[in-house]
Amino acid sequence: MKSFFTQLFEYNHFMNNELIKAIVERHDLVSDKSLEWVNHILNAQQIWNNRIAREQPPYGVWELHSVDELSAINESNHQSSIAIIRNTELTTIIGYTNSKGHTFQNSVRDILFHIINHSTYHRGQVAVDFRQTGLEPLETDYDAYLDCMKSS
Amino acid sequence: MKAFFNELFEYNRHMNNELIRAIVQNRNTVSEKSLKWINHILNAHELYNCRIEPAGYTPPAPWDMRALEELAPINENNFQVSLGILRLYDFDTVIMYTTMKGTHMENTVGDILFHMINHSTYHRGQIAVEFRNGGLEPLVGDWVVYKRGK
Repeated sequence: MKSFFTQLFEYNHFMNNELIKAIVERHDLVSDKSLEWVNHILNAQQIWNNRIAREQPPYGVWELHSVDELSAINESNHQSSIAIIRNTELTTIIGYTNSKGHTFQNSVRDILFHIINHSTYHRGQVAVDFRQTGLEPLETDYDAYLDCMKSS
Repeated sequence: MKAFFNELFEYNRHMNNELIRAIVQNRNTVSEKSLKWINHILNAHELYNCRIEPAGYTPPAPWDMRALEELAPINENNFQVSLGILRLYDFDTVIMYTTMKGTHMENTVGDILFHMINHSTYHRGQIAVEFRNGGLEPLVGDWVVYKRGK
């Protein structure tokens, strides 16, 4: 199970990086919405990593960073998630309070899967936005990614 | 691992069903794109099921459109076939297939099953944007929220 999650986080790290690269390259054309969503993907991963580590997250969920910072944030998020996979029992239950003050519980396994699933959901939205602004969306399918990794 | 994938396919079935229900209820206002994407989610699921476990019929093309009434039964059938695959197949079994773009691929059953879940989530995200643009309330589809209710 841990090696499966490691593989998913590598995929997530790679796809976020591809997206950040495309955004940096076409900064002139990229819409505010795409910027909001890619920031939101990174902020959410940060916040969940910190909930598991029981630390205070430094970012708000819709906070906007400068485009030049995104790649470093993605890298740091990835390293934290990989450390969580390595050092934490996946069945551990994490209690947390959301931005509205409600308290909830989820297992580490479910939080990790949520991070992956949430990122994919919003990358889908960025793809729509790219197409609307005349940019070519990225190929982000998991099977295509695996195939690309094998041939590289 | 198989138990976890059972949960993922239950989640996928649930979220698709919620979406199909919302689309049927709002059939007069739902956009063409939302219809195209929900059909695509179901077609792709069926197509990948057939790639792992060949069926005795020609699977749908990725962008085929069906009648709204057919969507819920197709979603249910896709789910049942995937559960059967989970029971019968070793996750490490390698499956060879050719994509619609003509690319030859070899991936394990485990990787294909994750791709199916991930692909559905990706397009449900896109439908959420369409819903909001068309004045409909998007569904909350977060995995952690879904699991809290379990």
